[in-house]
Amino acid sequence: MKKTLMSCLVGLALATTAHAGSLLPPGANDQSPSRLVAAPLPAGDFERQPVSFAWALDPKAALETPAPFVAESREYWAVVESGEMKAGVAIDTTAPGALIRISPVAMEKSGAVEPAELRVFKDGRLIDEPRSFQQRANAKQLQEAGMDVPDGSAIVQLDERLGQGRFQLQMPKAGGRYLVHVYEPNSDVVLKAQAQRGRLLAGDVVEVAAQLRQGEAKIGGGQVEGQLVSPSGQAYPLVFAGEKATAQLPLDADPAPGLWEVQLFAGGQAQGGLVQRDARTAIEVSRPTAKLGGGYAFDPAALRFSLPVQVAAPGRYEVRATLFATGPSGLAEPVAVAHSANWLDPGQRKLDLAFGPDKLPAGYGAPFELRFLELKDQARMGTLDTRELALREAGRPAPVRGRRMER
Amino acid sequence: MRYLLLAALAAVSSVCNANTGVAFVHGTGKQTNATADYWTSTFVNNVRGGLPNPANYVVINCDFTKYMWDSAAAGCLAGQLTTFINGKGITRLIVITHSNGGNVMRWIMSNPTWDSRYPNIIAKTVRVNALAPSSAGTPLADAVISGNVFEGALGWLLGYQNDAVRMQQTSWMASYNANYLYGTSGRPALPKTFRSVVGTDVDSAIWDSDSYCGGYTENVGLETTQNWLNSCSDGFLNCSSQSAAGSVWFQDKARMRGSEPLSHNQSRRACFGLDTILRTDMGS
Repeated sequence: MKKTLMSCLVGLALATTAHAGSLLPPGANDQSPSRLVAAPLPAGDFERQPVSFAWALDPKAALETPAPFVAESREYWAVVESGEMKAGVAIDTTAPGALIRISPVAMEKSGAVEPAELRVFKDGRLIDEPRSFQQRANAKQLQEAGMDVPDGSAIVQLDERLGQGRFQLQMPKAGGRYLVHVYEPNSDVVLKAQAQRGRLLAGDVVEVAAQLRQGEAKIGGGQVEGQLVSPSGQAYPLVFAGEKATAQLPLDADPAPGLWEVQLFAGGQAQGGLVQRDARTAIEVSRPTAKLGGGYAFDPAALRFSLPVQVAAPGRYEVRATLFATGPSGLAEPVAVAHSANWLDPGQRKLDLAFGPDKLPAGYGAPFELRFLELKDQARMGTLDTRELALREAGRPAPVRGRRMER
Repeated sequence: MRYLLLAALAAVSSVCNANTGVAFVHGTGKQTNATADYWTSTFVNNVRGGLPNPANYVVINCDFTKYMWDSAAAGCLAGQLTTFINGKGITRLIVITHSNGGNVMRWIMSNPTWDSRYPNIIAKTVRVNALAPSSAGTPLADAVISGNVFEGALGWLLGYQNDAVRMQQTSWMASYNANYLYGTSGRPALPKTFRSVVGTDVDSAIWDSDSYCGGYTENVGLETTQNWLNSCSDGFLNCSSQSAAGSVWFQDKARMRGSEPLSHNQSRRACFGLDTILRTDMGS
């Protein structure tokens, strides 16, 4: 009886007393600033009121950090002068049915490209009209279909019966310069690009894997070049070593909104002829304007975490995380998401992340885990500090009555 | 059994006592009269006719050439939804989005602390019926943007595309889905239901009258653009993109009259009974 009463009292104390601790160190997929920068505020109106929001999750949902995007390219681009277009620009293909888009660089010089003006040759012989193209569309038709090509563009698709290899595409009335885009939907020659991490901090090193393959085989004499491009177009060279490329991000990273891009240009000798491929993938680069302070306080009754934040630049900062609770199975399962944001000036600040006891399903309780914790800079659109697993808390000793499960 | 009956009665009662409204949220582009220029009044009127009070509707007109978080995009949408909710006393909001409009609405639902107007919008929203949402972007955006950046001779800004197109590149949407938006695979669910209507094919045969719904010439372009897409697509978006966030309400052929597919242009028009299905949904 005594023992039961004692454990009940201990449990009650745990349930009602706020206590403090330290966040777990960053894991392999996390980022955490080693230094902070006092970046200026961008132009714009930003929310100034503190705002908090939380919602319940289905505990059976499987959550994980998404892997970085894998870009796969079966296409390439080239700029062609009018003289070459009049004579017939060489189009190397590795599969039947290539699509060719031609866009005038300057409409006022070149005029619109009409699909009917285009002629195609193979082995020096003109392919007659009915057998040349199996699809053709002008700019208006493409734009109405949602493909936002520049005015004056046209797309033709080589008739699949013509096979693959080298073609000449001719436009007798060409003038000025054109962007020629060749896309081979049926080709097995693919350039793949994948950044090692999908988000980085200014000053970090970008690492990208680049592979040019025909099926599973490496392309003979294949070469890949590339660059890293900021949202406003500043380019930084990528340094290649085998099938990996790296680039150093500047600490004073471009403040323009949008993502950075890794751009790769590859060429080689595939079975049947020359091949070109261009690929891109996007990464988020954030300037480290604030970081998590490293500690926390937890109020188990309110299911609220208080998180110190070290701020170097004034702005609107947000913390967001997913609360995992222990369910009847004894496993930690996701039960709620909470966000909290406020305007913070430089210095030692804090943000409170309140899930609320009403978000806890019946039968779920301690131990708790805070996962997918992120500190974001809302004014500058950046992800600053992350923890896939931020903390484990004993919290309430036993499952408590909570929300009813919605199934 | 008695409890089930009581629960059903309670649900019916909450719907009956509620003041339900519908908002139509357009896709990429800057709209000033989306009723006429994007949806058509036939579509809007047929759908809102299913409301207990058909006057409880708003057709959004914002600048969705901008990034989804921009004040001209999500900020504008939040402003017009808030005015609608407050002005009409809406307690249950059903949002119908098309294409990139789904991303802008998903931005609001995924980033509730970005703007103090967002929480009330989320609280009032009962569901989003996302018609052909571009949740994972489209290879067509990749295709039109890439040409402007690969050739240094062209310069970065030459042939500049709008930010919304840039944002809907597949690698960009993968980044935003991983870092800012909820509802995709492996990510937490959105705070409210987001369910998609998926267009799976394009019918553009000149001899088939069904091709004309939504405009024949528009579908001719879709036949060409479909080459950038998978065999399952609506001519602008792969089915996988349309299905990437939230849940799939239905695929076109499962519910459309005559098992017709919905091309990307047809999924915002009164084609093959889509408007009737949405109209019926207004009452639940």
